[in-house]
Amino acid sequence: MSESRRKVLEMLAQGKVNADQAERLIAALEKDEVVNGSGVATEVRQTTKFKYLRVLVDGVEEGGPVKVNVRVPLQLLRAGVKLASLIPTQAQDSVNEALRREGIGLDLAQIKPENLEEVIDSLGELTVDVDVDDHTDKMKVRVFCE
Amino acid sequence: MVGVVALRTQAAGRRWWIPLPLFLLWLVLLPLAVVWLPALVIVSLVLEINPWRVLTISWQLLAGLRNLRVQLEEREVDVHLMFF
Repeated sequence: MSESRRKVLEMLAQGKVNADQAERLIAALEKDEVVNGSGVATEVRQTTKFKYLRVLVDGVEEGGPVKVNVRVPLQLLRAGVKLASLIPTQAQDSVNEALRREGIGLDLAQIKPENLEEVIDSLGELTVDVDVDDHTDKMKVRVFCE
Repeated sequence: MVGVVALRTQAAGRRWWIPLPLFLLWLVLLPLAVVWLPALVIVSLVLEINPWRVLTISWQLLAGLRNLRVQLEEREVDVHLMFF
């Protein structure tokens, strides 16, 4: 077991990080560690493919604590975007119009499978942290890819 | 692929963990495929969409559900949706 991994597990045992954070730290270590022939770990940046889109919500509302943990496989997003290409042209116009009314300037016809990988790659670099601190409610939202 | 919906509620002071395996749903839906598959092909042809492409994307959607996990935890109710 590598030293950094042992440290993460110690932090978990001491309660400094929760199981979710420890899992993410170990996953990050796995990405960055490449063991060479002599067994020495060297830090190498890898261009790994992300597999999941994660949405974590951690909040406190009047009724008590609220936790949401969503893990969406990017494969599902890929298939979902391809689904847009099946929408008949007339329906696409209606959908575009409805989106425009809601203030979303998206043209479904512009979503092409060849652009898909680019979109997913961009998603991989996306991390959104939102902190809401209301009088009664507190909410922390994290969106990222892993 | 197996999906599980699990509910945990706090009722009468006890916490219940109820896993509902979704593969039972497949058992019900699969015989219906004989009916809806030709219907899907006809509708696709009417809408001038390649039926093969419809089937491919539908399959990719189903396959993409693998490893999907939705977990909602509140004080009194926990809902977990997992596809393996």
